[in-house]
Amino acid sequence: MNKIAVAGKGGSGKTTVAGVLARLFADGGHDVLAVDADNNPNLGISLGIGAERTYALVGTREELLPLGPAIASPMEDLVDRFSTEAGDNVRIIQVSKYDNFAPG
Amino acid sequence: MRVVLLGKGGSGKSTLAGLLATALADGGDRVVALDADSVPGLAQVLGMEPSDDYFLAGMAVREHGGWHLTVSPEETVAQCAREAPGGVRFVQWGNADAHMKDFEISRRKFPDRWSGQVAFNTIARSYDDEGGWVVVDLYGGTLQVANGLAGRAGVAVVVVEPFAKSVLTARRFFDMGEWPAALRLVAVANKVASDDDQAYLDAELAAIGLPLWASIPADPAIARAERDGRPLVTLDPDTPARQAMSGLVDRLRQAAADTPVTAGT
Amino acid sequence: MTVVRGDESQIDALVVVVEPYPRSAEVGRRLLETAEANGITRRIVVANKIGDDEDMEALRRFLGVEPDLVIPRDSAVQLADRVGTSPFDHDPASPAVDVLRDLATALVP
Repeated sequence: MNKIAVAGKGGSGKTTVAGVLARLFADGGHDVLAVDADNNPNLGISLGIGAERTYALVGTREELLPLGPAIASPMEDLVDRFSTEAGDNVRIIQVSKYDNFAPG
Repeated sequence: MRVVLLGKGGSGKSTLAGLLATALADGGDRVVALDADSVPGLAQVLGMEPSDDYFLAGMAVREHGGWHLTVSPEETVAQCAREAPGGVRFVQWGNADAHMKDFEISRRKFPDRWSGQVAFNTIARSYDDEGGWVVVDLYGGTLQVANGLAGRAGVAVVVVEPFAKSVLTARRFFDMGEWPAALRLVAVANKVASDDDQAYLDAELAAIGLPLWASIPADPAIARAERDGRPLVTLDPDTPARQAMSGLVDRLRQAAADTPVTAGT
Repeated sequence: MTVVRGDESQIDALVVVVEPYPRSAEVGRRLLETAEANGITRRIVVANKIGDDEDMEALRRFLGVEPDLVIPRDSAVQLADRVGTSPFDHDPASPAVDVLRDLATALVP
């Protein structure tokens, strides 16, 4: 697995770059998991799923928080539960809708 | 009265915060501006060199299991705020000259910086000046709002640009829902380049339910000034953006006049 | 503050996107410094929304390093941004997408 991180100041274009790169990797035949770890998550738009679907995406952290502080799920289970299809070969997972410890 | 600026990163919050603070000060009002971004920017907009002089190091202490300011919020600001050309006094959260050691601020390793950040957050949440203005430039995104840095009263201005992600961000702020009753949430359109842009934002903001208080046109002079490191106060007061600011200033003065004086907030 | 935290050692490459403005470049600089200190050896600097030579000059001045890639101002991207679609769908042959295609190939051959 190749893990590519895209970062930058808000407004610099990092989300657009990340979204387009994800689509390009998928277009090249790879399976892609697009992770949006921003506390203002807009990656869905750059992936091409549209504003409404992006807004409706579930925040993994919000879903897990009510269940208690200690979550011991393996990453694959979390991805299965909380990611959603975002086009050919692309799935998107959103870490948090609002509040996040590691933005960007 | 407190005016807090929110918005997507890159929307122009800091620029508008600087223009607004300057416009209010130009009118003779007392203005304190707070830069809550971890990368300082408001200082330069106001015409000051980046520096750690504007920081609140050591102004909060931990006692009896909790943090509090060493002196009153007013005294903290009086001691630490620096005055920019034009009369705006300001304080910043961020570190002007950050290197690796500064990114992971821990209370034990950097007690002075930690206490400065606690002091700033306290000021940002609660400092108000009923006879003057407190302009708070929050970090882009929802994190600081979720942490209560918008505070209780005044006006929260969401800066929105004419494109989908910016509108979605505004919607997020509106839907956050836990806004204090005394805080008015409004929008200001920024970098509006055409009638098309304006129509788009009018429709989208109406759909969200955010009143639009001003529309700031795209202004290449501002972009160039920021790129070239020139403070915005040196710009021609007749540039379109500065002129549009006066509309926002009028709305804010009206809101301040309409706001009942609260004792002991 | 956009700082990558957590399992940095598992990241294969970090793409840092910067615009020709002081704060954007400063965030980029901090990201690169943190990444290097955290053992991310593959770091790519992408200059974005570059309109002219003055933009490039400004960016070099602020950042202190030469960007690895330059994405020009692209009206197709601006249009896609406006309506909320992916530039990849809107115009897969636009200048910005072409540059990113080169990046994608370099990152994951």
